[in-house]
Formats: sequence, C-alpha cells, structure tokens
Amino acid sequence: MTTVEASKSRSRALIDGVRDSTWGSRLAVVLVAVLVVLVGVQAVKEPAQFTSQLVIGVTNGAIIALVALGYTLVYGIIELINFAHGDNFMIGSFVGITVLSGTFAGIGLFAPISSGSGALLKVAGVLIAMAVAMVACGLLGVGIERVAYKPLRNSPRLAVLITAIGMSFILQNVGLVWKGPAQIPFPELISDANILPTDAVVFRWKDLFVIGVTIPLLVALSYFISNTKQGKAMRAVAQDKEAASMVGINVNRTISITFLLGGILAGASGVMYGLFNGITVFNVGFTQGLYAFTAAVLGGIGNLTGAVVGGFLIGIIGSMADQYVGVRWTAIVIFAVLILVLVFRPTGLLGDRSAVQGGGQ
Amino acid sequence: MAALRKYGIPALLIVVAFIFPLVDEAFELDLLFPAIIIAIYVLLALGLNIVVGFAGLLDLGFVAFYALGAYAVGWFASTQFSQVSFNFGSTATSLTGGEVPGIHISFWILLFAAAAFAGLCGVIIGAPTLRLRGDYLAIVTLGFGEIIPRFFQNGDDLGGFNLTNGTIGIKAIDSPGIQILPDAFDAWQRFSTLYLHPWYYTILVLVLITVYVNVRLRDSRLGRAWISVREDETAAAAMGINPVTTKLWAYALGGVFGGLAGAYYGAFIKNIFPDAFSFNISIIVLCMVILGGMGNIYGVILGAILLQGLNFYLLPQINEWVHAIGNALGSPLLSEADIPKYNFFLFGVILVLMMLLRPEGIIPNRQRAEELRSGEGGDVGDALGGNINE
Amino acid sequence: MVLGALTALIAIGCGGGGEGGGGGGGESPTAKIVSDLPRQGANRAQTTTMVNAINLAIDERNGKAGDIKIEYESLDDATAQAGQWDAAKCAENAQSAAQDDEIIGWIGPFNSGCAAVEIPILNEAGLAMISPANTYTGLTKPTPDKSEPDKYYPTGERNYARVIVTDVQQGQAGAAFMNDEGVQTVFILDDRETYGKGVADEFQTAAEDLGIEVVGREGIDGSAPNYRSLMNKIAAENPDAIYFGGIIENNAAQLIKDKVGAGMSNDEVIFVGPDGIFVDELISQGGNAVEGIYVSFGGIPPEKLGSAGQEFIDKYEENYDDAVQPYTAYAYEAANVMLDAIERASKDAGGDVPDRQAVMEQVFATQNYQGVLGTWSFDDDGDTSLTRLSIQEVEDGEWKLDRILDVEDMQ
Repeated sequence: MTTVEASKSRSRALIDGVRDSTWGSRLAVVLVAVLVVLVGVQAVKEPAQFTSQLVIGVTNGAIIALVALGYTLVYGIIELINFAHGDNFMIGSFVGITVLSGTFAGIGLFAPISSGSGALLKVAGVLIAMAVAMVACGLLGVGIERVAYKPLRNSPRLAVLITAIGMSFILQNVGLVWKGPAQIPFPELISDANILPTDAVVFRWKDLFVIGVTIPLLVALSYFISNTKQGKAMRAVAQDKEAASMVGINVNRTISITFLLGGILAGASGVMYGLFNGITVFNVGFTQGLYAFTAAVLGGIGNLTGAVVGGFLIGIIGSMADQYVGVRWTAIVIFAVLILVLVFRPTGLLGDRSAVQGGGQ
Repeated sequence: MAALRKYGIPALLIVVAFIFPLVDEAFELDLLFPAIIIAIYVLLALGLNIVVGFAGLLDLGFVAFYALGAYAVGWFASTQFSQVSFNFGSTATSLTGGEVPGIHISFWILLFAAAAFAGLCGVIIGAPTLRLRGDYLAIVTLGFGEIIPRFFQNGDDLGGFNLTNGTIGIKAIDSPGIQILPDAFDAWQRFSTLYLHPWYYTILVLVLITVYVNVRLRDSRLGRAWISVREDETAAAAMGINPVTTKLWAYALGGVFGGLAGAYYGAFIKNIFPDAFSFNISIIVLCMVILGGMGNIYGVILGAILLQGLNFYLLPQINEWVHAIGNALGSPLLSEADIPKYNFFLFGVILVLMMLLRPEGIIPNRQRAEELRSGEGGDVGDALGGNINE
Repeated sequence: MVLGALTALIAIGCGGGGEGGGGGGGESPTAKIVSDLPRQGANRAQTTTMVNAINLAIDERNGKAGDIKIEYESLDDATAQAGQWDAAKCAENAQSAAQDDEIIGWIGPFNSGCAAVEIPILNEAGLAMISPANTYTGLTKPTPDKSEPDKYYPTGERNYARVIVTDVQQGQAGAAFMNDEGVQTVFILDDRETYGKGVADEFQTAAEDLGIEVVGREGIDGSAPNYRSLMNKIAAENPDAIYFGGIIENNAAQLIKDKVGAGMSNDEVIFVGPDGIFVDELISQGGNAVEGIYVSFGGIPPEKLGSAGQEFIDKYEENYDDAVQPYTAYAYEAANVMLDAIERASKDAGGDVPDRQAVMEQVFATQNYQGVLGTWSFDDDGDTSLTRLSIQEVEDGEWKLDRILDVEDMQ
C-alpha cells in the first residue's frame, strides 16, 4: 500500500468510526473536550498556579499509579479485584514508620530516625524502610493469596470478591490495633523546600523523591514483565491459564509471583506515601485503594501502561478538582469517574475488549 | 404435620415477639433498645437479600438506600427547611405556640414516601449497571455507596442552598405519633425517647410486613424470574424473561426496604449524620446475608440477629470475661484489652471463613449449596446459587 | 433455632444487665453520676486527666455529697474505628443513662456535636448536664438557625449548663488577637462539623465587625491525605492570616504542614485555631510545622488561674502521674458544681437521695461560685459569666501562654 492509500484508508476508518459510534461515546468525547478546553483556559490565565497544581497532581498520581499496578497485575491474571491490596499499601506505610522509629515489638534496635538525624542516616533510613516494607508487603500479598484466594480459585468470582473484602477488613483492624485510630506522623526526612529558584512554581525535594523512586520502579517492572522468563510466564497465564499450564508453566507459582510483585509495589508506595504526605492512618488504604482501582480501570484493567497512565490522570484530575471545583467534591468527582468509566467504557482508555468481556477466555 | 411445621414455628415466634416488651419490663432486662436496632438491621438484611440473595446481584453500596430513606425523613419531618412552614398531620408542636418552621409531614405517610423514594433511586442506580458483569457491578454499586453519603456530607452549600446541612447533619427529627388516639394512650400520641414500647411495636409490624412481602415475592413469578436470570441470563432471555426489568425490580424492591429501614432509623435516633452511613454498614449487612444464608429469608433474619447480638452483647461480655481473667492472672494485657475494638476484625474473619468453608450460609438452600461447592460457576450470569423451595 | 438464639441472647443479656442494678442498700443512700467523654483517639490523654479530675473531686469529699454516697462511672462516646466521638454511641449512652434511675447527674460531653444528640434525650429524662468543654453557641443561645436552641429542649425546660465560654467569645478572641497583630485579610477554613463550623462562623462575624477582610471561606475534608492543592489556592490569595475552625481529629496537623509547605510560613501568614486543636498531640503530629501557631482557649490555663488553680494542680500531681491538660481544671470545676448541687438538693430532701428535678434546679441556682476558674455564675441559659480567654502559642515544641484577652467589651 502506498502512503497515500494508507492515509486514505486511515481517514476512512476514522470517518467510519465516527459514524458508527454511539451517542453515548460521542457525548463522552464532547464532554472530555469541553473539560480539556476549560482546564486549558485556566492554564493560560494563571500558568504558574496551574503548573504547581500539575506538579501536585503528578506526584500524587505517581503514588496512585504504583498501587494501581498491583490491582491491574492481579486482575489481569486471575480476574480478581484484590480488595485487600489497598490495605497492603497501608501496612507498608506502617512497616515503614516502625522501621524509622527504631523500635520493634518493644525492642529498641536503634535510635529513631528523625528530621534531626544526619543526611547519611536519613538516606539509609529511607532505603532500609522501603526495602523492609517491600519485602514485608510482598510476603503479605503472597500469604493472602495462599490463604484466602487459592482455595476459591474454582468458585464463583463473587465468592472470592467477598473473601477479599473480608481480608481487607482484617488488615484494617490489624492496622487499628497496631497503631491506634489516630493519624501517625512520619518524620520529615525529605525537605519541603522548593528546588526551583522561583516561588511561583513549587517543585519540592519531596516531589523529586517521589518521581525519582517511581520511575526506576516502573522501569524495573516493565523490564521484568517483558524480558524475563517469569514475566513471560505471567503474560501467558494472563492470556490463557489452561494453555499456559499445558506448555509447562507452573500456574500456581506464577500467580504467587504476581501477588508478590503487587505487594512489593504496595510496600514501596506505602512508605513513599508516608514520607510524602507526612502522615498515615489505619484506614488510608480504603480510599487510596479505591482511587488506585479507579486509575487501573480508567487506564484499562489488565494493561500495565494503562494503570500508570490512569494513575497520573487520576492524580491530575484530583488536584484540578481541588483547585477548580472545591476540595470537598474531589472524592465525588473521582468516584463519578469510576462509575462513568465502568458503565460507558469498561475497557478503559488503553485496554482491549477481551480482557473485560472474555470472562476467563 | 408439615402444615404445623410451616406455620407453627413462625406463629410461635410472632407471639414471642409481641409479648417480648412485657417480659422485658417485668424482668427489667433493658433489651428494648438493642432489640429495635436489631430489627432495623433485619429490615436492611431482608432488603439486601432481595438484591444479592434472590437476584444474585452483588451490591456493595446498600448503605446508600439506608441514607436516602433517613434523609427523606430528615427533610420532611424537621426544621431543616425553615424557609417554609408546612405541617401535615405531624406531631411537631411549637413550644412558643406559634408556627413551627420547616416541613413537617406525618411519619406514617413519610415512611412509605421515603421507601418509595429509595426504591426509585434504586432503579436509577441500577439502570446503568444492567450490562455489567458481577465484579464490575459490585464496584459500581460501591461507587454509588460512596458518592451518596459524601453528597449528603457536602450538600450544605449547593450554590448557597443548604440541602443536607452537611457534616452537622439534621437534628431534632419529629417523633411519630397517632394523634387521634384518646388521651389514655398518650404514649402513643407522640412517641417519646424514653418509653420504647410504641417504637418496638411499630418496627415489629414493619418487619412482619416485610417478611410477608418477601415470602410472596420469592414464590411469585418475579421471584422465579430472578432465579433464572441469576443462573443464566441468556437462557432466561431466550425463555422470554426480560432481564432488564427483572433486575430493575430487584434494585427497586431492595431499595424500598433499605429506605424503609432508613426512614425508621431517622425518626428513632432523631439525628442523622452522614458519617453514620459508611461502607462498613454495607459490609455488615452483606455479612448478615451471607452468614445467615443467601436467599433464605429466615437465614437472613438469623444472620442479622446473630451479628448485631455479637456487637451488642457477646463482644462486651467477652470483654468482661477477658478482663476478669486478666485480673485473676495479673496480666495487664488481658485486663485492659478492648475487645469491642476488634469487631470489624471479627466480621472480616467471618466473611473469609464463611466463603472458605460454608458459602451457602447457616441455613442453606440445598441448590445453592451444590452450586457453590461443585466448582465451575458464574460466568455471564455470575450466580451465587439459590432455591425457591427451602 | 431462632428461638434458641433468642434465648441465648436473653441469658447473656441477663448476665450483662445484672450489674447495672446493683448498688443501693447498706448504710447511707447512694446516688450515681456519670461522665461522657471520648476516651479513644487523639483526645484520649486529655480525657484521661478529666476522668482523674472528677475522681479527685469525689475523693476530696470522701466519696460523698453531703450525707449521700456518690458512685461515678465514666462513659465513652468514641468508637475505635472512628477514633473520635460517634453519634450513635452518644445516643446510646444518653439512652441508657436516661433509663437508669440511679443516675442523677451527667458531666459532659466533650464534643458539641455529641451534645446536640444527647441533650434532647436527657432533657426528656430531666437529667442535669454540666459540660466542661462544649462551646457551640446554639446549644444554649440563639443562632441564625431559627430553631436553635429550642430544638434541643423538647420539654421547654433547660437541663444543660456549661462551665466554659461559648464560641461567640472564642471567635471574638481570635478576631481580637488578629486585630492586635495588625491582620487585615484572613482566609477562613473549617472542618464542617458542628463545633468547627460554629466557631468559624463566630470568628467570621467578629472579624468582619473589627474590619478584617475575609478573602475566602472553605470547608475541608478531614480525611483527605493532603491539602496541598487547597494551600496552593490560598497562597495565591495572599492573606495575612488563616483561621481554622475545627478539631485535631480532622487532620489539623496535616493542614498546617501543607500550609507551611506551600510557602506560607507561620511568621508571614499567621495561623490561628480554636481550642479544638489545643492538644499536645498536635505538636507531636505536626512537628516543626506547628511552631509559631496560635490557638484561642475558652478559659485560662490552670497555671494562670491564681492560687485556687495552683492548689488544684498541686493536688492533681500528688495523686496522678500524668500532667494537667487544658480541660482538666474544667472537668474538676464541673464535677464540684455538680456535687455541690447534689448536696444542696439532698439537704432539701432531708438527707435523702434527691430526684433529678431537684438537682437540675440546684445546678441552675449556682451563683457566685468560687472555684478554680474564678468567681462566676450560671445565667438562665446555663452559660457561665466568665469572659476571659487566653491565646496560646507553640514555642519550642510546647504550648506557651501568649496573652489573656477579656472580651467583655465586645459583647
């Protein structure tokens, strides 16, 4: 095909697409366009404030993206909405603060790392806290799978969903008993100061930290999925469990490794959340988990890039809603996005139909 | 013999329920308040049973109907809309003798209006979910279950208009009352917060009506349509059943009973706060339905009684025993333990264990038991199983 | 099967309910008072000292008020999940106290929202209430809401009094303080609950009266992870000060952290809050960010209360290990007022246990009372005649008294 013919057939496909589209999706496209225009107008009117909000949105979104990856990995492989994943994230932040406080089970191992400690100690503290949380949450994820989800692998999907809800409650209560109901402060290990010389746009060291940790994690995950044998096994099981087992892949082990990965990401993002926001609480997993699930669905459940894109989008939608709609409506806006996406475009932005409707196929 | 079994036990239970307040007063048991709360949850559980148990649609946002019913009463039986003054058969009187600000409609009318309103909302919430598969359906209902209470929480400034009074909630909701009664029955003329007998009998009647309606629904054509849609939607459609209307009826009726419970709750507690309508309540009610036996009316009632009884009595009682043991053993850990703190932990454990060991519930339906245990189940129809002949 | 469950429940219930009926009999007549405070969450340390103070007041009288023995029970209106007061728990506590005829006095609650639930129930039961900490104006005095305060008193008679000044005075103190500091523009935030919104409303009225311009007003969501976007928005308005009406449980520490993080230091943009955040927890949660913030307190801290106050602190520290907190003295005062009222009522009843009505009347008859808070009286609405408030500042990780304001002139 020559380029002229190719472009002609592309444009014809586009026109056909428009003609065949439903009123629902046309309306959706118009709405989204209107929103983009409104936001764009604001961006032009007050560029500095807009950029600051964008930065806030992107950094909040990075944390959400990491949690969303956990949801999408698990859903892609066994089509379960792992309700307990958000609470795994919360446990990660609790593990992190425990490590930083230096005392575990009443045994003081070292002095608590606080904002007064030396720079080297702070860096070490952050790294160790993240490492320990990643291991702990990874194992927790695998443990939950073994205890609660594996026995029900052949049961109706809703039975597993209910079990997941039960696990979520159990984890929340573990958090409640562990650290109590009040908010738990994190030490200020990363500076709040603005890196940029100008005061108009705020980009803090904390923001750099979040982006600086998220990107390597994403790269590592992506490498793992596409270049290693285990990653290939995961993709195979996600596509077709039976066929994968027929070619000799250990399905059970692959599923466990998926949960392990999800848990690792949850642990890392939990500690990051604590250091970034300075505070954690036993029921943070519920709302953040729902936001992350919204992000996963928005991007296309089962699609890893989709989860990341969805995460950043939700973060940005959140901060834009904070600014332009009002802080108290933000949660409603995000849940409305969740409902709208599920009802009108369950495949999400980047997903494909089969993952959603195939029901196991 | 079968007739005796079928009618005897329920009749006996009804009689016991009716004389319970007299027993309570005679023995000073002080159980009426918990009994009324349990009854409210029984209503909720029966409502959710229609959606989850009969029609097999996992609804994680049932608390939205509870909230809608309560706020409907709050709007029309309190001083919330003090811009107008409208009184229709209600018990609200002004102490200063003037007009009472706000809309005050008789509770008995409001009960049904609130229930109908919630039912209508059920249809509106259900409509977009009709094409969705099981777990997505659950999440969408969860989304609504989060949005609606949050809306009530933030609804005090909708362009300047105070619709829901925000986090502060709506206070001093009117008491029900039957004002045409002679003065000899003054406790019934206007229900007070101290003498709970009128409240108890009111909700008892509501529960009985609900159970009766549920039994008739279950055995009706609609009930059978629910079962067939639950088992296999495509086959049901092929047989001429309209899955859309069938599912919408399930949502509507579930909403009606949820709203009924909410309306009663609003009048009983007299103050409604949006915080009271959290996701936890949706889960507790779901727990009751699952524990008791999905689709089984008596099982669901048992589940409600057991779980609320746990909350009200067993946990504080265990708390005392643990303290006693702790004091006896000299262990500060035990004597200061706060067991009721762990009640959601217990609910979580119940959910997990029930699903792992006995998903059909305490009083099971045999057909559903087979379904849940046998293995492959739930692709398009996402069945949780069920049987009309229990 | 259901019958079996019901029977089991009743059996358990009997076991549980039995202990409530005990007491009485024996040598001297016994009466019971209860307190209702949030015993879990961020305010736990504070309410523990309050319970201790009530016990201290009773012990100082050898457990008696006049000739009758006093029993005391501390109720909890908080739940573990919420980490703060819970409306249903408040209602339940009030209901069970209303039914228990032995209880003739109620001290509490701590939170104004809880009071809104409990007062109507206890009003119908005719039980006298003294709160050491509720400041929401509408509980005793009229507000723009036409139905307040009457809707809390279905019988038409008052049964509720408080030893602490109301939000009107607290808002005025906050505004007076800002005026003293030369503030011209302020952005107001509130946590959208009864107390927080109430005190923010009163502050707004007072500030506008003093000529301070209110450049914005927003309600926050107490459970949000951070408030960076909000603070970003406020920073663009460039106010001289921010006022936050709310309680610490609604994430006040995070709010302050994000304020500072958005470039608004506590020197450039003064942060003032009400006594809902006047808790040590705020400092441990907020760290460096809360240095230099100010709070108003509906009273004077115990150390500044004069000799009676100092005596109280000494006595408390003799008997208890923990330190006196801002509201401890108020709980002590409330307990003493209640016990005095019971003693007077009991004398009128010839040395017997007085009934609730008598106690109620005696509480409202408290005039020229000389206590640790000073010399004051209850007015007909149950409010105290005190008008002095204090402004506290966080300095070097501790609360320090900044100044004492008398708002009598602003009434």
